[in-house]
Amino acid sequence: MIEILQGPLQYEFMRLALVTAIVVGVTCSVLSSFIVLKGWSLLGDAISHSVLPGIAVALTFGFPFFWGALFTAVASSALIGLVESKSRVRNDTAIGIVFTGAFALGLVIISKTRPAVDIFHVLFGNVLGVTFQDLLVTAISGSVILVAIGLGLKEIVAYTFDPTFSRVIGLPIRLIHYSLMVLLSLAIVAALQTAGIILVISLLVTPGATAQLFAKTIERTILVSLVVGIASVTVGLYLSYYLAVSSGGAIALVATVVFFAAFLCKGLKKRVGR
Amino acid sequence: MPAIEIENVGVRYGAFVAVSDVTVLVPAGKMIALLGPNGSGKTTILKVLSGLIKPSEGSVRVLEGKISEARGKIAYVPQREEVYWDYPLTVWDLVAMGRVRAVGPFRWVDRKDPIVRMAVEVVGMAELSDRRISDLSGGQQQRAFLARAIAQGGEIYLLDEPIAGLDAAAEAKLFIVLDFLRTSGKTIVMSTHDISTTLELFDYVLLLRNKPIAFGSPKSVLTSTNLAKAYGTERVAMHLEDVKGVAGWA
Ligand SMILES: Nc1ncnc2c1ncn2[C@@H]1O[C@H](COP(=O)(O)OP(=O)(O)OP(=O)(O)O)[C@@H](O)[C@H]1O
Ligand SMILES: [Mg+2]
Repeated sequence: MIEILQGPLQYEFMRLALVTAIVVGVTCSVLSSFIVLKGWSLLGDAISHSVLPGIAVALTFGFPFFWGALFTAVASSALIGLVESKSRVRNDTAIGIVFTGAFALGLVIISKTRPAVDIFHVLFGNVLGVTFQDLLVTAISGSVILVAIGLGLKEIVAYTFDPTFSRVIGLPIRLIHYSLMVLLSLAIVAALQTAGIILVISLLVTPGATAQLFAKTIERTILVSLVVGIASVTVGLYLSYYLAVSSGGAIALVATVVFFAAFLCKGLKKRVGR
Repeated sequence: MPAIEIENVGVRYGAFVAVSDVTVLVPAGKMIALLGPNGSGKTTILKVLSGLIKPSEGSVRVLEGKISEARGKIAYVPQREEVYWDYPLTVWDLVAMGRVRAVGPFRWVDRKDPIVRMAVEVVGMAELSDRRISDLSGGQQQRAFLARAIAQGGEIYLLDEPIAGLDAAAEAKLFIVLDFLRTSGKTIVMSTHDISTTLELFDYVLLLRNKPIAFGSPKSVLTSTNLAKAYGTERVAMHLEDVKGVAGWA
C-alpha cells in the first residue's frame, strides 16, 4: 500500500502535481459550498469556458496565460451580469449567449494562430506538466480566496441566503456579489492546469453538492466539501498515474463517483431509518 | 412620536403606476395592515419603507429621519418563498444573521450571544434552536424570520404576507409575538390577504388598489362600500358580514 502511494512521488513532476492538485482541491471545495447554495453552477461553467480567448491571446503573444485567463474570466462574468440586468433576458440565457460567444472567439483565435501548446491540455487539464512557478501562482490565488472567504464568511452566508435582507440591513451587497464573482474567476483560473477549461466546474460544484446532502450547518458543509475535494484530486491523480489516463478526467470522474456514492448512501440511510 | 411618515408617495415601474397618492402617518407602537387585491401595491409600499426601492414621487420618513439613517432599525421580513430553505443553517444560525451588522466586519457572532438567545426565546423556539431550517414547518419558519428581525434590534417590522399558508394555531402564535413587539413600542406593518377576524387585531388598516381607498381603524375601513371599491366585487363585501359577526361589530 505504502509502496503504491510512495511510488509516483519519487518523480519531481508527480510531487509538484500532487501538491498543486491538493491546493486546487482545497480552494475549489471551500468556494464550492457557496457556488452550489447560490445556484451559480451554470455561471461557473460559463466563466470557465470564457477564459479560452484570454488563454489563446496570451499564448499567441507569449505572456503568462494566468493574466489572460483571469481578465477574460472577470470580463465575461461582468458581461453576463450586464446583459441580465439591462435587458429582459433571463440569467441562464445571458450565460448561454456570453459563454458560447467567448468560447467561439477563443477557438477562432487558436485556429488562426496555432500556438505551440496542446489544445487538449488547455481543455482538459494537464496537472502533470505544472512547474514550480505554476504551483506558486496557484498557491497565492488559493490563499487569497481562502482568506477572503474566512474574513467575510458571515456576510457571504447572509448574502447568499437572503440578499434582500442583507441589503435592507445595509450590508455592501454589490461588493459582496462582485467579490464572489472575482473569487470564482480566480479559483477557475487557478484550477485550469489541474482540470482544464471543460472539467474545472466539476471541482467547483461536486464537492459542495455532495456536502449539501449531509451537512446541517455551513461550517460542516465546508468541511465535508473539503474532504470530498481533497480525496477526489488525490485519488484521481494516482489513478491517472497508474492507468496512464488524463489527470483532469480522472479527478472529475472520482468526484462524480463520490457524489453518487454519497447519494446512494443517503438513500439507503433513509430507507433503514424508516 | 411618528414612526412612519409617508407623504404623497407614488411608485412607477417604467410608465406603470404601481401606487400613487399614499399619505399615511403612523405613530410608534402600532400595528398596521396593508390590505388589497393582488397587484394593488402592498409589496411595493413595504419595499419603499425598507429602502429597497425609491419612491418616484413624495417623501418617506422613518423614525423621524431618512430611511438610510434608520438602516439597522428597519427589519424586513420577506415572503417565505423568497429564500432557499435547504440552505444548511440551523434556527440559531438564521437568527444570528440578525446580528451581522451590529457585530461588524471580520468578527463572528458569538455562539452564546445573549441577544440571539433572547430573540429565539421571544418567538418560543428555544427548543428548536438546533434544528435545521429546512425541517421547520411554515409557521416555525415565519417565527424564525421574526426572531432574526428581533435580534437585529428592529424598531419597525415590515412583514410581507407572513400569515399566508399558516393554519389558525400557527397564525395565533405569530400574533402573540407581534402583539408582544407592539406592547414594547415597536411598529409593525404587514401585508395580508386575509379579510377576517385577524384584522381586528390591528390598530390601522390601509386598504389599497394602487391608491389608497381608505385608511383608519379596521372597523371604519372595512365597510362593504370600501371593499367593493377595492376588490370590485360584491362577494368580498358579502363575506364581510360574517367577519363583522365574528368580531362582534355587527
Ligand atoms: N419590478 C416590477 N416591474 C414592473 N412592475 C412591477 C414590478 N413590481 C411590481 N410591479 C407591478 O406593480 C403592481 C403592484 O405590485 P405589488 O407587488 O406591490 O402588489 P401586491 O399588492 O404586493 O400584490 P400581491 O398581493 O399579489 O402580492 C403590480 O401591478 C405589479 O405588476
Ligand atoms: Mg405582494
